[in-house]
Amino acid sequence: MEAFLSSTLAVLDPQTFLYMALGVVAGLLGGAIPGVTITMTIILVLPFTFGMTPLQGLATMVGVYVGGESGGLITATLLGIPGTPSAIATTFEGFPMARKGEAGRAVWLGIWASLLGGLLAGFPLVVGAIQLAALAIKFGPWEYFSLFVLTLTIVASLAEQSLLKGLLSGVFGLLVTAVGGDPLMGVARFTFGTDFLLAGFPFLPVLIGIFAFSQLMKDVESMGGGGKDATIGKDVDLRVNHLKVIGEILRQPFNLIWSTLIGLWIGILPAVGGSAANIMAYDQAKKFSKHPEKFGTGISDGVIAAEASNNANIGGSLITMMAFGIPGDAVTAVMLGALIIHGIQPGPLFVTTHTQVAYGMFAAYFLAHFVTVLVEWALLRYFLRVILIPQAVLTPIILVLCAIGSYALNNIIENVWTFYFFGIIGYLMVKFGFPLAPIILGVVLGDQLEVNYIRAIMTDADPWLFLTRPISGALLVLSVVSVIVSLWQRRRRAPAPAEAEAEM
Amino acid sequence: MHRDAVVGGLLALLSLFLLWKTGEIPHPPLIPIGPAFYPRVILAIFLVLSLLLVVSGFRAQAVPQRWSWRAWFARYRVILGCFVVFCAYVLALPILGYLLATALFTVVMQWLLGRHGLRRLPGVLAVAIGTSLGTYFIFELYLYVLLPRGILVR
Repeated sequence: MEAFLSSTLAVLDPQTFLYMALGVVAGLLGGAIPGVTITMTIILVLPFTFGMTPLQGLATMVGVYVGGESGGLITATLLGIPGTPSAIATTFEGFPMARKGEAGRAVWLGIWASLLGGLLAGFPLVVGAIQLAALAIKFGPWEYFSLFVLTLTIVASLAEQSLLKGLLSGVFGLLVTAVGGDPLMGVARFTFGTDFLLAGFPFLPVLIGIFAFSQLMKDVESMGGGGKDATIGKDVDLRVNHLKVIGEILRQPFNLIWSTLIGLWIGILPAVGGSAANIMAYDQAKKFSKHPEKFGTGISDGVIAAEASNNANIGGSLITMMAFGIPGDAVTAVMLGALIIHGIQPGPLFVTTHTQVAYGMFAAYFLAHFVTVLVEWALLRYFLRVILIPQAVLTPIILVLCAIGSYALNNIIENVWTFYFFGIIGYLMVKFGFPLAPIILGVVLGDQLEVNYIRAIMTDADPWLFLTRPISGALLVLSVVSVIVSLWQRRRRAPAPAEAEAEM
Repeated sequence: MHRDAVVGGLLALLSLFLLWKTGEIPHPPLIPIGPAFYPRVILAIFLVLSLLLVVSGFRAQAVPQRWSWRAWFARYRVILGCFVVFCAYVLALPILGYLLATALFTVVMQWLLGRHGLRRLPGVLAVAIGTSLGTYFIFELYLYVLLPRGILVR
């Protein structure tokens, strides 16, 4: 508790607080602009944090994350386009509600539901991260190795596309980290005679390339589609009785809590983001509703479910990231990279050895939620003017910022080439139906996987220990189970579906 | 046959090539498992998965469709353009320097993405100069990132 208070004070330090608030504004804008995801926003903010202290940098990123989830709902309700994938379900109810002339109610239902869902998830975040980290400290290298294997198979089997492609994507990620000096002696592997690759592919340019480039190119491809004529006018009246809106949310306690729990759980699952959380919560709200037929016409239940769950998803993702050093989604994968840049090794020791940063992240999480509401209250109507930047302007600017971000990592042009190279790979993967989440996880976990494997073998040459040590064995069994369950589900769902992918 | 079979085949070839490359990795003495061991395990798994993809590709039904270079090019021309222009940008950075290369890149990209015509030119130029100068000031002067200098412009 004491640590929490002192870290809260550290975040309240004017400079840190200002950075965090700027992070919130950046997140709100990025989240609100269609085509810019929260992942991309955090990637763009990243180079600005290189010069900050670790606490400032991480607080800023938490600000972006929290702000981004709320930013998405502005576009979703007022324009009918999800600003981020995690606001897709918000459009189902928010937009019809706004079109019925209740734009203010729609937006603020979302904002207040985000705040409440986020705050409710805050307590599990603090307790969960600390408890799970305490558990994970007892892990030996065998358990770690098995945990990473389990994580990879879970993510591969959750992939929407084929399980095989999910696994291939994950293993390819591992392969990327095998390039460069080996962890024991630094013997060069697959460097093809270059000095640059001796240190391995730099993690962040790889990540930025795979995500940002492929996303941008996908947006370019779909450019010129979808007219924006169905939008609400710029001079829409957003005034609303806030107490009434909050009361409306609190009158649905079951919906609020259940959606929060769904968000938390999806967040804890590695590398599955808010886009799954909000759709699932919406679906559940509809199933449990006494009036499911009204869904789609603009009722509050759907907005509350979607927005409470996507903010709770942040809490869940942060738990996994802080307790195990495993990214809960793409955003936390970037945060892990930021930790490493600031010289902090992610993993279960993070919470105990870097208490101030860890507790500062908790504090930032809570504070950012309030800052988000304040900023939205003050600036909401101005956001609408900024949101509609044409894709033709947005794309080059984002690419320039990605290039700087990669370059600034250690001021060499090779990093930008890495970004470009993995941009091509990411785009090809998307085109050929390979999911991106597993490769990211593979790249994030690859080094640790190998290190723990070697550590285990050096401690005891017996490879059977991976199976005979109870926790490690259980994790590996679960990993096999996850693959089998996934195979079984796919077989049941559709007998040999002719994959309807984007043709190339 | 589905195109997955081709993709799987290419990935299998890649893993075979890299497996062959692991032969060049030296094995330092006194270590139970050498630095080549881990990549070999990963590559073996990768190879098996790729071959499985080939098999499933052969079993799956291909979506019947006419495929022509012309249609493909019409569809992907802008995307290809983006990749080529970005490549040129990275090549130009160390030669022209950050400011000039970025301004040019932003102009060409906007043009490529459909903002052409004389009427739009002031806007296009404003975005280009704004992006280039804005990022330069923030990163170079405020965040102390030394952006590429350029050999030609000193």
